[in-house]
Amino acid sequence: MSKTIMIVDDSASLRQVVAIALKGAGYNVVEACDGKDALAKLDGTKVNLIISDVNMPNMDGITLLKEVRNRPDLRFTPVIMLTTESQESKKQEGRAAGAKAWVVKPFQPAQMLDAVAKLLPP
Amino acid sequence: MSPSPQTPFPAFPRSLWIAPFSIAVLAAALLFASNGLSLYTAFQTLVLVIAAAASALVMTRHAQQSLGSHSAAAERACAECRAAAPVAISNLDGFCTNVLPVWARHIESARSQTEEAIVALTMRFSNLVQRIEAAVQASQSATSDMGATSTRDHSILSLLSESQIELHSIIDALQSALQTKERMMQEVVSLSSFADELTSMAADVAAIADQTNLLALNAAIEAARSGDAGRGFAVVAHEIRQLSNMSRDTGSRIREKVRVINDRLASALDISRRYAQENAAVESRSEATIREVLSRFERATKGLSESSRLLEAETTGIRDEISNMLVSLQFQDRVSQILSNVRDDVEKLNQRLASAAVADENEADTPDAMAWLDELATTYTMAEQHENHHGRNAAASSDTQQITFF
Repeated sequence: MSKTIMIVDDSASLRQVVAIALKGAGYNVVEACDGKDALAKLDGTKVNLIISDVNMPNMDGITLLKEVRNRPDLRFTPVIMLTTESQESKKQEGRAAGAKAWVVKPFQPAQMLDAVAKLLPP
Repeated sequence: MSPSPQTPFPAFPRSLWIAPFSIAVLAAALLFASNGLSLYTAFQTLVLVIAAAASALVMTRHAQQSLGSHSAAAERACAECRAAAPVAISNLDGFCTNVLPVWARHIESARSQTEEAIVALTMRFSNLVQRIEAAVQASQSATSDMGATSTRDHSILSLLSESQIELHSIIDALQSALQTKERMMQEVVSLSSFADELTSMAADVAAIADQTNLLALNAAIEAARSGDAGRGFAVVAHEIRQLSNMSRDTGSRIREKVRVINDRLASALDISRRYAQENAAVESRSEATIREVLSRFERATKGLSESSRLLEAETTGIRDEISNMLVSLQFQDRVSQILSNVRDDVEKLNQRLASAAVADENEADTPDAMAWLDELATTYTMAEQHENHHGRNAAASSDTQQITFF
């Protein structure tokens, strides 16, 4: 059974790009446009990994990450931050909140798939 | 620009006193030199001093009046400037309050239009990738169905190989049939040799019949000589002659039948030989045709396989190119963030000016530029924004970066 990955980003085009890469590799994909939307969708969907942007309206990625870590069913779900933020301080903020990897846009789909494969062993 | 400090004008400037008093002193010296020291000369000198003082006083008054009028004009101008400055700032506020929202709307419009276009473009490219993927899979599935093996080349080549084996087995069957016919012809030829023997035997039968007939004739002659005693023997001799005649007839019929059979066998042999030659030619032509067909099929298969592989490689290349284009389209996210930051800052400035105008319409609250820029810098997310902020050359970041694992 293929695994499900959630993409959280306010940019629809970027969600598309990530979805194409992941679907091509055989993953199921669930899309959310911000942190709040993601939390709402996580209530009814079992996901194996979350890829989230940092700067988003309504709820940013770091807040979403903290919320996810506070939920018992999602405490150990790996989260990859996909963002234009390249500042070390922001990275460390993500690390402290429980992110497993930090990917700076623009990204290569192959790199992203490698990161996903590392965090989601078969 | 800060106004220069005003310096008060002196009521009696020394420069205005020097000229009249110098003339008066010079005139008194000339009087004393020409007239000598006397009461009249002293009186004249006093008059000159008074005249010089009066002249100086008059000139001073004139100067004061002139400078006073200039000073008043300057003061009026400064007052007008001071009065005009708040008006200009107030006008700038009004200008900004009206213009900034338009700028913000234009920026937002550009940002949203770019985003919509890129999303639509991404969707189309995404559909293209999916369709190409489906075409590649359908092609691979179709070619793998052609044979038991999974790869296309193997399946087509194995099909060709199987066809060759089957068609060669048909050629072998034809050759086997021809060989069987050859053996049958040899049997027929051997039968014709038996026919000769039968003809000889028929001749032997005829010869025996003739000899028997001659013998019976002699017996009949001898029986006739014997008279009544030989009458019975004459009957026997007669019967023997009839039998010998019958034997001769039978021998003739046998010889005739053998001849007919021999002719038929020769005819059949001739026909069989002609058929055998024709069959051999047909078999040879069939084999050549089959080999030619297989050769063509092989060439066509190789060509098809090559073109199919090329098509698949090209299709895969196009799919990869489109995927790379999708990666390049990520620029929209970065552009959107930069435009959003500028839009937000323009809106913030507009709100600031609007709230300042409400607080005090007469006093403009000009924001501190450095503090404003520092605050703007905190909203940046990308390195090129910081580079732009500091006026350095900010190249668009199209290179992907390494992933950081925690």
